[in-house]
Amino acid sequence: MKGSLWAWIWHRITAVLLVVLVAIHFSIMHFVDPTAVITFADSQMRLQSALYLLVDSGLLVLGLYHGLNGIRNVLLDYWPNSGRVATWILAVVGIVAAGYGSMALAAFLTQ
Amino acid sequence: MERADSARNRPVRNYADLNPRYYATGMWSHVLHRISGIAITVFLLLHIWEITSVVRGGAEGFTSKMSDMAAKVWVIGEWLLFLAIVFHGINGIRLILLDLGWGTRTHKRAFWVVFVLSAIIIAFGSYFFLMRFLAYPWSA
Repeated sequence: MKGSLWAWIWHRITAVLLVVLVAIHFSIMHFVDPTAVITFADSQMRLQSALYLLVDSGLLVLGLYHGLNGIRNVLLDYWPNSGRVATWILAVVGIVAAGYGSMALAAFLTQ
Repeated sequence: MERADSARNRPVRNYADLNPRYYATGMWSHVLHRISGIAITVFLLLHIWEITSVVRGGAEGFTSKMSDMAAKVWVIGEWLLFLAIVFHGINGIRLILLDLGWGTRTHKRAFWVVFVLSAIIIAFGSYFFLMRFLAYPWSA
Protein backbone atom coordinates (compact mmCIF):
# COMPACT_ATOMS: atom_id res chain seq x y z
CA MET A 1 0.00 0.00 0.00
CA LYS A 2 1.07 3.57 -0.59
CA GLY A 3 2.16 5.73 2.34
CA SER A 4 -0.72 8.12 1.84
CA LEU A 5 -3.22 5.28 2.30
CA TRP A 6 -1.54 4.28 5.57
CA ALA A 7 -1.72 7.93 6.66
CA TRP A 8 -5.46 7.85 5.97
CA ILE A 9 -5.96 4.62 7.92
CA TRP A 10 -3.85 5.79 10.89
CA HIS A 11 -5.78 9.07 10.96
CA ARG A 12 -8.94 7.03 11.65
CA ILE A 13 -7.36 4.60 14.14
CA THR A 14 -5.85 7.48 16.15
CA ALA A 15 -9.20 9.32 15.93
CA VAL A 16 -11.09 6.53 17.68
CA LEU A 17 -8.40 6.18 20.39
CA LEU A 18 -8.28 9.96 20.91
CA VAL A 19 -12.05 10.18 21.49
CA VAL A 20 -11.62 7.79 24.44
CA LEU A 21 -8.39 9.35 25.77
CA VAL A 22 -9.67 12.94 25.51
CA ALA A 23 -12.88 11.97 27.34
CA ILE A 24 -10.81 10.49 30.21
CA HIS A 25 -8.38 13.44 30.28
CA PHE A 26 -11.14 16.07 30.24
CA SER A 27 -13.21 14.30 32.89
CA ILE A 28 -10.28 13.95 35.30
CA MET A 29 -8.85 17.43 34.72
CA HIS A 30 -12.05 19.48 34.52
CA PHE A 31 -15.02 17.62 35.97
CA VAL A 32 -13.72 15.84 39.11
CA ASP A 33 -12.68 19.04 40.93
CA PRO A 34 -13.55 21.96 38.64
CA THR A 35 -12.12 24.77 40.80
CA ALA A 36 -8.78 23.14 41.71
CA VAL A 37 -5.60 24.98 40.72
CA ILE A 38 -3.09 22.52 39.26
CA THR A 39 0.19 22.10 41.14
CA PHE A 40 3.34 20.09 40.51
CA ALA A 41 2.59 17.81 43.48
CA ASP A 42 -0.93 16.94 42.23
CA SER A 43 0.26 16.27 38.69
CA GLN A 44 3.13 14.15 39.98
CA MET A 45 0.71 12.10 42.08
CA ARG A 46 -1.60 11.55 39.07
CA LEU A 47 1.28 10.52 36.82
CA GLN A 48 2.46 7.92 39.35
CA SER A 49 -0.51 5.83 38.21
CA ALA A 50 0.29 3.74 35.16
CA LEU A 51 -3.15 4.34 33.66
CA TYR A 52 -2.84 8.13 33.75
CA LEU A 53 0.73 8.02 32.44
CA LEU A 54 -0.53 5.86 29.57
CA VAL A 55 -3.40 8.29 28.87
CA ASP A 56 -1.07 11.31 28.82
CA SER A 57 1.61 9.61 26.69
CA GLY A 58 -1.09 8.39 24.32
CA LEU A 59 -2.59 11.87 24.01
CA LEU A 60 0.85 13.35 23.35
CA VAL A 61 1.88 10.94 20.59
CA LEU A 62 -1.50 10.13 18.99
CA GLY A 63 -2.70 13.75 19.30
CA LEU A 64 0.43 15.06 17.57
CA TYR A 65 0.15 12.47 14.80
CA HIS A 66 -3.56 13.11 14.23
CA GLY A 67 -3.29 16.91 14.44
CA LEU A 68 -0.21 17.29 12.25
CA ASN A 69 -1.47 14.77 9.68
CA GLY A 70 -4.69 16.81 9.61
CA ILE A 71 -2.64 19.96 8.89
CA ARG A 72 -0.89 17.99 6.13
CA ASN A 73 -4.28 17.08 4.62
CA VAL A 74 -5.26 20.77 4.60
CA LEU A 75 -1.97 21.79 2.97
CA LEU A 76 -2.31 19.09 0.30
CA ASP A 77 -5.85 20.27 -0.51
CA TYR A 78 -4.67 23.75 -1.44
CA TRP A 79 -1.10 23.03 -2.55
CA PRO A 80 -1.14 19.52 -4.08
CA ASN A 81 2.58 19.74 -4.87
CA SER A 82 3.66 20.46 -1.30
CA GLY A 83 3.49 16.76 -0.33
CA ARG A 84 7.08 15.78 0.41
CA VAL A 85 8.19 19.11 1.92
CA ALA A 86 5.05 19.38 4.08
CA THR A 87 5.42 15.79 5.29
CA TRP A 88 9.05 16.29 6.31
CA ILE A 89 8.53 19.63 8.06
CA LEU A 90 5.49 18.33 9.97
CA ALA A 91 7.30 15.09 10.86
CA VAL A 92 10.18 17.09 12.37
CA VAL A 93 7.74 19.33 14.29
CA GLY A 94 5.95 16.21 15.57
CA ILE A 95 9.10 14.37 16.63
CA VAL A 96 10.54 17.43 18.39
CA ALA A 97 7.24 18.16 20.18
CA ALA A 98 6.79 14.51 21.20
CA GLY A 99 10.38 14.35 22.48
CA TYR A 100 10.08 17.61 24.43
CA GLY A 101 6.70 16.56 25.83
CA SER A 102 8.15 13.21 26.92
CA MET A 103 10.86 15.12 28.79
CA ALA A 104 8.09 16.84 30.76
CA LEU A 105 6.41 13.51 31.58
CA ALA A 106 9.81 12.13 32.63
CA ALA A 107 10.42 15.20 34.82
CA PHE A 108 7.24 14.46 36.80
CA LEU A 109 8.44 10.91 37.46
CA THR A 110 12.06 11.72 38.39
CA GLN A 111 11.91 15.03 40.27
CA MET B 1 -2.96 6.09 -9.42
CA GLU B 2 -4.00 7.92 -12.55
CA ARG B 3 -6.61 9.84 -10.65
CA ALA B 4 -4.19 10.90 -7.89
CA ASP B 5 -1.71 12.13 -10.50
CA SER B 6 -4.34 14.17 -12.32
CA ALA B 7 -5.35 15.79 -9.01
CA ARG B 8 -1.71 16.64 -8.38
CA ASN B 9 -1.36 18.32 -11.74
CA ARG B 10 -4.72 20.02 -11.88
CA PRO B 11 -4.01 23.50 -13.22
CA VAL B 12 -6.87 25.51 -11.68
CA ARG B 13 -7.71 25.54 -7.99
CA ASN B 14 -10.96 27.33 -7.37
CA TYR B 15 -10.86 29.17 -4.02
CA ALA B 16 -14.26 30.79 -4.74
CA ASP B 17 -16.03 27.59 -3.62
CA LEU B 18 -15.01 28.47 -0.06
CA ASN B 19 -17.73 31.17 0.07
CA PRO B 20 -20.18 30.11 2.84
CA ARG B 21 -23.12 31.37 0.74
CA TYR B 22 -22.90 28.24 -1.39
CA TYR B 23 -22.39 25.65 1.37
CA ALA B 24 -24.62 22.59 1.59
CA THR B 25 -24.73 20.45 4.73
CA GLY B 26 -21.69 18.37 3.81
CA MET B 27 -19.61 21.51 3.20
CA TRP B 28 -20.55 22.94 6.60
CA SER B 29 -19.45 19.65 8.15
CA HIS B 30 -16.17 19.79 6.20
CA VAL B 31 -15.39 23.42 7.04
CA LEU B 32 -16.36 23.23 10.72
CA HIS B 33 -14.40 19.99 11.09
CA ARG B 34 -11.37 21.63 9.52
CA ILE B 35 -11.50 24.86 11.52
CA SER B 36 -12.00 23.01 14.82
CA GLY B 37 -9.21 20.58 13.89
CA ILE B 38 -6.70 23.35 13.15
CA ALA B 39 -7.68 25.18 16.36
CA ILE B 40 -7.24 22.01 18.46
CA THR B 41 -3.82 21.30 16.87
CA VAL B 42 -2.62 24.84 17.60
CA PHE B 43 -3.87 24.40 21.17
CA LEU B 44 -2.05 21.05 21.48
CA LEU B 45 1.28 22.66 20.58
CA LEU B 46 0.65 25.52 23.05
CA HIS B 47 -0.41 22.98 25.68
CA ILE B 48 2.87 21.06 25.24
CA TRP B 49 4.74 24.36 25.65
CA GLU B 50 2.77 25.15 28.82
CA ILE B 51 3.31 21.70 30.40
CA THR B 52 7.01 21.58 29.50
CA SER B 53 7.48 24.59 31.85
CA VAL B 54 8.42 21.76 34.24
CA VAL B 55 11.47 21.02 32.05
CA ARG B 56 12.51 24.70 31.96
CA GLY B 57 11.62 25.77 35.51
CA GLY B 58 11.31 22.59 37.58
CA ALA B 59 8.54 22.02 40.12
CA GLU B 60 8.33 25.72 41.14
CA GLY B 61 8.26 26.85 37.51
CA PHE B 62 5.40 24.49 36.71
CA THR B 63 3.32 25.36 39.78
CA SER B 64 3.71 29.10 39.20
CA LYS B 65 2.82 28.68 35.50
CA MET B 66 -0.34 26.78 36.49
CA SER B 67 -1.37 29.41 39.03
CA ASP B 68 -0.87 32.08 36.32
CA MET B 69 -3.28 30.07 34.15
CA ALA B 70 -5.93 30.00 36.91
CA ALA B 71 -7.68 33.13 35.58
CA LYS B 72 -11.09 33.74 34.01
CA VAL B 73 -9.66 34.59 30.58
CA TRP B 74 -8.01 31.15 30.30
CA VAL B 75 -11.20 29.42 31.45
CA ILE B 76 -12.98 31.03 28.46
CA GLY B 77 -10.21 29.63 26.24
CA GLU B 78 -10.57 26.16 27.78
CA TRP B 79 -14.33 26.30 27.26
CA LEU B 80 -13.94 27.23 23.58
CA LEU B 81 -11.51 24.32 23.26
CA PHE B 82 -14.13 22.08 24.89
CA LEU B 83 -16.72 23.14 22.26
CA ALA B 84 -14.26 22.47 19.42
CA ILE B 85 -13.21 19.06 20.79
CA VAL B 86 -16.76 17.82 21.42
CA PHE B 87 -17.92 18.83 17.94
CA HIS B 88 -14.77 17.51 16.21
CA GLY B 89 -14.94 14.17 18.05
CA ILE B 90 -18.63 13.50 17.43
CA ASN B 91 -18.58 14.72 13.83
CA GLY B 92 -15.41 12.65 13.36
CA ILE B 93 -17.29 9.50 14.39
CA ARG B 94 -19.89 10.39 11.75
CA LEU B 95 -17.15 10.80 9.14
CA ILE B 96 -15.58 7.42 10.00
CA LEU B 97 -18.99 5.73 9.74
CA LEU B 98 -19.49 7.40 6.33
CA ASP B 99 -16.04 6.11 5.25
CA LEU B 100 -17.20 2.62 6.20
CA GLY B 101 -20.24 3.13 3.99
CA TRP B 102 -22.66 3.41 6.89
CA GLY B 103 -25.33 6.11 6.72
CA THR B 104 -24.32 7.62 3.39
CA ARG B 105 -27.99 8.17 2.50
CA THR B 106 -28.79 9.84 5.82
CA HIS B 107 -25.60 11.87 6.31
CA LYS B 108 -27.45 15.20 6.35
CA ARG B 109 -29.78 14.06 9.12
CA ALA B 110 -26.76 12.59 10.93
CA PHE B 111 -25.12 16.04 10.89
CA TRP B 112 -28.06 17.41 12.92
CA VAL B 113 -27.75 14.44 15.29
CA VAL B 114 -24.10 15.47 15.73
CA PHE B 115 -25.25 18.99 16.71
CA VAL B 116 -27.84 17.72 19.18
CA LEU B 117 -25.41 15.24 20.81
CA SER B 118 -22.72 17.95 20.96
CA ALA B 119 -25.19 20.38 22.54
CA ILE B 120 -26.13 17.85 25.25
CA ILE B 121 -22.49 17.10 26.15
CA ILE B 122 -21.59 20.81 26.00
CA ALA B 123 -24.51 21.70 28.28
CA PHE B 124 -23.35 19.06 30.78
CA GLY B 125 -19.68 20.10 30.65
CA SER B 126 -20.37 23.84 30.70
CA TYR B 127 -21.63 23.59 34.28
CA PHE B 128 -18.12 22.59 35.42
CA PHE B 129 -16.48 25.35 33.39
CA LEU B 130 -18.91 27.88 34.90
CA MET B 131 -17.92 26.72 38.43
CA ARG B 132 -14.27 27.29 37.51
CA PHE B 133 -15.00 30.63 35.81
CA LEU B 134 -16.78 31.94 38.91
CA ALA B 135 -14.08 30.70 41.30
CA TYR B 136 -11.09 32.20 39.50
CA PRO B 137 -10.01 35.87 39.45
CA TRP B 138 -9.84 37.88 36.21
CA SER B 139 -6.07 37.94 36.35
CA ALA B 140 -3.87 35.77 38.52
